[in-house]
Amino acid sequence: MGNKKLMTQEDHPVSALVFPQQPPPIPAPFTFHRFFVDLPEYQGPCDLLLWLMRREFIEPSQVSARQIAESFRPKGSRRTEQAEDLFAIACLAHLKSCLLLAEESDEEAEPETGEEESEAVARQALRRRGFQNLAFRQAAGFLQERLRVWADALARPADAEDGTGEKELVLPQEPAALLVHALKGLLAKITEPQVSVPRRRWTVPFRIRTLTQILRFSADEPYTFDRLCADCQSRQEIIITFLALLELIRRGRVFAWQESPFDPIYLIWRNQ
Amino acid sequence: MDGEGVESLSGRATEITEEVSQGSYEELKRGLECVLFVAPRPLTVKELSDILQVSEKKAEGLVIRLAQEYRERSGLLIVEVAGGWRMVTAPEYAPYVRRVFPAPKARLSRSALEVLAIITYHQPISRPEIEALRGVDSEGAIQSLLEYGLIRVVGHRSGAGRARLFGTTTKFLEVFGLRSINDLPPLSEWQERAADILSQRLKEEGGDAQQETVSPSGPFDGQKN
Repeated sequence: MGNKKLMTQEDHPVSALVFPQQPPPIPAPFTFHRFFVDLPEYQGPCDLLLWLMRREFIEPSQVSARQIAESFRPKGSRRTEQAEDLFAIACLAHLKSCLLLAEESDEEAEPETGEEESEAVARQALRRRGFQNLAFRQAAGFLQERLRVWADALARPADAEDGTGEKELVLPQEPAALLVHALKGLLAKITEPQVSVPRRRWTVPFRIRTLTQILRFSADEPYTFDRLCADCQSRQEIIITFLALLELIRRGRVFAWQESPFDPIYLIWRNQ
Repeated sequence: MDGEGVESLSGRATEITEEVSQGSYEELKRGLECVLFVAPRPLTVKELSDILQVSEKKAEGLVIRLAQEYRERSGLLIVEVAGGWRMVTAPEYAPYVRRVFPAPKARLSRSALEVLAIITYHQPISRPEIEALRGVDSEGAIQSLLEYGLIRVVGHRSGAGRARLFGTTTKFLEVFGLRSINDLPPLSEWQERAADILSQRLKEEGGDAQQETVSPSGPFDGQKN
């Protein structure tokens, strides 16, 4: 369950540690006096700090991990609390290390073995990520500049009805929705051929004759009402069959029988 | 606004429109102006050739020549975006236009732009891959880019989880005024800049810049798609 907390910047215990010396410009979310956060788990202010950092409300480079670590050290009275504090501080250090490059050079480093080697690999990976991040920030800056310029070049709105415009296909994400989307596309393409089917014209006397023939020659194997209507193609034909059957029962030619409620209704021809 | 210079447009136009006589050109030009004025989306050369009933070569020549004329004398521009041609107002006159048509300016957060840059250069790419590159949660940024219509789901990664793969849309090209993705500078250019910035930082911190050369090798080393 998520813990909803209503925080203000002033009463936040971490806020004093985040900007210890010179407070930088306040990021946009903190310009409000009240700021809602939805933490999956809240065990202390470090959780909130990590949450804010992961969502980029706080720049990791502006957070002093050392001061936070020092402030938590005496507070943990039990081992579990101390472990939680350590874990939070480790997460904080990891986040910071993602942005800050290691200072050692691989080329000049001494040959490393075991843990040192894995550390070197991790350091290299962090360095690469930091480098890629920086490259993409440059690309993002370029896009921002292009967006700024092109936002001033106004064109006829793209959502205007043009009748001939090809709308870009945006695929839904669920497989079932994909299928429905594909089905709709196919149905839209297909034009039904004009087919004319001559309609059968059943009458009650006609149906009495056909039912008589059917039931008479199936005396050994009783018919159910459902089976009798199996060849009906419309509601009207079922009604006609029903009326014909009632007439045959009235005349005493057919006997209807049901073993128990909701069981099939059997129709038996009565030879007189 | 960047794009092709007047000289290069002129060169392309004379190459292609040599065969169009003056009288026919005037009529076609006016027709083309009307078509571009009413079109709510960029029109490809093929569409223009169908509309004007001329060959694609002639249609391209006409639209380039018209674009050149507009660039020289009009507050409107004919620009090539998203694989087609469309008429837009010149950005320098935007203050006047916005008094009549106060359309809100598109705003994207820094993180959304970073995610968009990653998708642009690595498409198709999944969310875990984007997050591996950035090191932070990117769901919010991806969601807003999807809502803006700048990216779309182009498929699913095979394997466990079938992660969604994202790519840019035609709207992305229109919004950023690009003819195609190839109009963007190659990723290597940004990597060079990043290397320069890192070297500069290290120099300022007193380190040896020569030692800290970073190679962009790895799963996302980047050649532009």
